[in-house]
Amino acid sequence: MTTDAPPRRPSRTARLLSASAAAAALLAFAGPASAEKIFVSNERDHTMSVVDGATLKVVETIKTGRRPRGITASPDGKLIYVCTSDDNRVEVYDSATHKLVKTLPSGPDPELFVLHPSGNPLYIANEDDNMVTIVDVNTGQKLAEVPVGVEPEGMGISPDGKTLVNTSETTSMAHFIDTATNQIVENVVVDSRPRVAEFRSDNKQVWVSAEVGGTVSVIDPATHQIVKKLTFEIPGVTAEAIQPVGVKITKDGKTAFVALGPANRVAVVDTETFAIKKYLLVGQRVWQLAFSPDESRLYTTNGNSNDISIVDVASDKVTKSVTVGRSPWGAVAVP
Amino acid sequence: MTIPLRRLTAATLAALLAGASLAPQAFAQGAQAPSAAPASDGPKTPLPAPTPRAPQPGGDRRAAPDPDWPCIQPKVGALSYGQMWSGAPLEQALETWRQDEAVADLVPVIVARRTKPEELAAELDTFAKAAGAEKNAKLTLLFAGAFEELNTTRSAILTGIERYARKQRTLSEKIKQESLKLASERKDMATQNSPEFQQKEQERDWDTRIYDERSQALTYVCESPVILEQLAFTLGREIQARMD
Repeated sequence: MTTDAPPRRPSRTARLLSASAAAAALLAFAGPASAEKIFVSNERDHTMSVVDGATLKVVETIKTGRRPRGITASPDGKLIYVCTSDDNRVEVYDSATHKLVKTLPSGPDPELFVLHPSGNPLYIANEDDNMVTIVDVNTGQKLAEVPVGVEPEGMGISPDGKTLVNTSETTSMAHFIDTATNQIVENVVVDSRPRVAEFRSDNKQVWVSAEVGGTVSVIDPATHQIVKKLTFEIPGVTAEAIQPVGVKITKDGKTAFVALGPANRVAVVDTETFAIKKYLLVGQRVWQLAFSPDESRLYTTNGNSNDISIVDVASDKVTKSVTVGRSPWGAVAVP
Repeated sequence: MTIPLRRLTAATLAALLAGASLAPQAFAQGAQAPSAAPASDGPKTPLPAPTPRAPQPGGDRRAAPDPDWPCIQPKVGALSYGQMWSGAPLEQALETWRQDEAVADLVPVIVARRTKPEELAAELDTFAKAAGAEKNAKLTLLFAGAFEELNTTRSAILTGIERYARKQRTLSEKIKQESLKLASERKDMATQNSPEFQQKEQERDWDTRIYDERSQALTYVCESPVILEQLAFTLGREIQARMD
């Protein structure tokens, strides 16, 4: 569209024609075939990188509010939600045009959040306020605040949307919250500095990573008992460098991926036997993880090497790294 | 909607006490298993009373204060090779890499910060090609050498930064004493115009200037360990990409 500009001002008809051609081109691009995009929040650059899933190149860098961290997408993939922690709000972007659509109130210092599986409401962890804020994404109204432990961070929601799990870093607890009443049902003590909570698709396990504890607690949501505590050992890596953060489990529930922070590795774990199949070397200070929509790939954000790594899920191999902005924090991929 | 945490804790405790006598009854009536009790009963494990934030670990912007560590970046001690190497254990290679002439020649080149990425790629390609069938073993030796060199340099920088921080502390104390002394001696015009007083004042001003300039340089100095760690990781990635 922008190339080969004609030397003379074109006629009105020609301009209309080219405009409609441009619209047609845009529509063609909006088609489902291999149009995957990966959105990456860059904490230190106050930007979001947009990576084309086919070419694995950064196609655009969007300026966001200050300190973008948690990032997620609406179930239809049309909207991208970003926590801009230092601006104390959630920003909503159109995934097709990359434009800011609106902002939502978040409470102070939003770090991570999770959408209800239906796409509404949004549950936000307020790191400085010991609260989980619940916001209606359509009206932008705060629906409720749930007091939790100190420094809330990780947010996981059950596939049926009935149970929310929030982790609080200093209190070292996973808080199970009933989404019908917005009340805490139970608090489960886990290891030091829990960062992320992730449900298995059959609702039978919640995985909670503990960054300082160096473990992942697998909790049965029905009984609130820890059924397994995973530890990690990597030859040639000191125990202190193993700091579990991001956790993702495949839709079939069989395989979990755990990002191990400054160990620069992602552990591949069988969710039934809890055997650790592999430690994939990705990038420096691997933080959060995201699947491609078809789950053929896993994307990892590497905060210190300023890139994302692409893992082929079928072969458990790291295939490529793509440089993004400074301190990439979170990622989400949409079709 | 906001409930103060203190009140919630009290309510939680009350619910806990009530729940202790009510739960078996409800269970006997076959209503619900205890684990599926309504949310209004409150959690079995209450939230603790509000606690101050725990000291933060390394790898976080709120690292616990260490007077000898002046950087915003968390202090990370020695690097471990597993953070950047997924190949075979390096213990033996770390002992022997210097004995290989080609490796010993190339290590200083690839660890130098002035070596550009494209030069690095070309050097590694040439080295891998020359190694022939021994490619994997030679590349392993090469990484071991680069890792050891970078780790040693990095450790020396860490020690240097701590020494720098101690010197700055001493200098800041000296400036404080000089200023206090000058203030106590600044009695009248005659004293202030005396060569001794002016010399002392100039000395204090010089010390302040040195302190300020060193403080500004700190931003760059503090980046050095991080840059070296990034370089070690990049070398690991590039070298492993050339292995079969």
